[in-house]
Amino acid sequence: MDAASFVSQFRREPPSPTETIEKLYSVGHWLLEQERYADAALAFRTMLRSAPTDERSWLALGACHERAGQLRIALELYGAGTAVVPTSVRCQVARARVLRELNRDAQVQDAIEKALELAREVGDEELVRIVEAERESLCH
Amino acid sequence: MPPSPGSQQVNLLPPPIGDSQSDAMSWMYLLTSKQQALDVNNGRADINRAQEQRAEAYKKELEAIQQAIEAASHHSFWDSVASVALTVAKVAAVVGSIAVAVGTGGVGVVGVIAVAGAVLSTAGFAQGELHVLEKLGVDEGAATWIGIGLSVGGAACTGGAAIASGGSEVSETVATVKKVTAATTAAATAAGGAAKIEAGQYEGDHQDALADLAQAQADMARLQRMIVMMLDDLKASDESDNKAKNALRGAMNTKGETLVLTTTGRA
Repeated sequence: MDAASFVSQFRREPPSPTETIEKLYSVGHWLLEQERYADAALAFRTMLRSAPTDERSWLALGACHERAGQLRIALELYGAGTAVVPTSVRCQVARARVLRELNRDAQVQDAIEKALELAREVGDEELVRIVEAERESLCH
Repeated sequence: MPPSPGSQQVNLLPPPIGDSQSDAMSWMYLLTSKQQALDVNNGRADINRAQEQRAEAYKKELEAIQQAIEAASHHSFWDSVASVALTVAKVAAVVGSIAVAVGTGGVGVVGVIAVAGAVLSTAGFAQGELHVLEKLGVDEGAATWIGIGLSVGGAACTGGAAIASGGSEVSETVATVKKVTAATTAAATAAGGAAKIEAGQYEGDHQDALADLAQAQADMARLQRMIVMMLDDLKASDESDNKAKNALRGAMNTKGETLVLTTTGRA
């Protein structure tokens, strides 16, 4: 499909907000895999502004900075993610990983325990397993 | 996130739905141009509302303090009280108005924090991590300003229920806000009945308020710097969005022409 046809189809059948968010996430994820961190961040930033309560927005934007070596900015974003989406186990785990990288071991323990507590509250067994494995890896 | 090369860590980012590679650039152009226009408008409205509320709260606090100064201007002791109170009131006004501004509802709080997070990210890629964090006053041991802002705002809305979920730094900040607010209230009480305040009691409260004030000022200065950066970012977004659209439009036209040449065998 060429660009003109694509635009014309887009105008005929504009995507729903949910679909738009998914497409943004999809594009950003692909760019992140290509190691185009600044481009991926553009997509995730747009997603974040549109869907701030979606934990993937914070995780993904934080991941762009983390992969670009900007650990403290990533930490701020994961921290904000845990504040905006208090049930986000993944943001807590991501935060714990960055804290470990920054050698803030005392805070790693706190973050991972919080993540485990949340995962159990949510009742997601897969998340519990992920966090337990993470605790084993990060805290020992 | 996709795991780093050689890492055995679980990928925390869920996989996207569908084929992410199809027409990624076209989606990027269409979605960012559509969403960014929306975001800029929403973000600008949020910030304008926050500024108006802050200005209004600040004006009221200054009027109250001015009355206190006038009422007690013949006493040198009250001059110093007014001086301290004015500073405290300024901070309390900013704290209160930010709390009100971001605490106007769940969506408002989250929206402002999201814009701030996006600004941090933009500034980070543009200026580098250390530069932008230093500019914001974030040091190694500092509490996250985003968490503080959100929890303070949430606490104002919920009467403190949100504090329970915050970290110790957040609780300390909220405690500071309470003390500063109490100090402001004390100054207002003094204006109404100066004779009832004992010098000794005031001295202790004064020292506490000053100590807490330093921390509160640092936190609030950080938030104010972020608001200024947010405004700059929103202005820049308008300009960069147009540039990005033009660049991507050119790329898309080139892509379309290439496709036509390929399919018609004219390449």
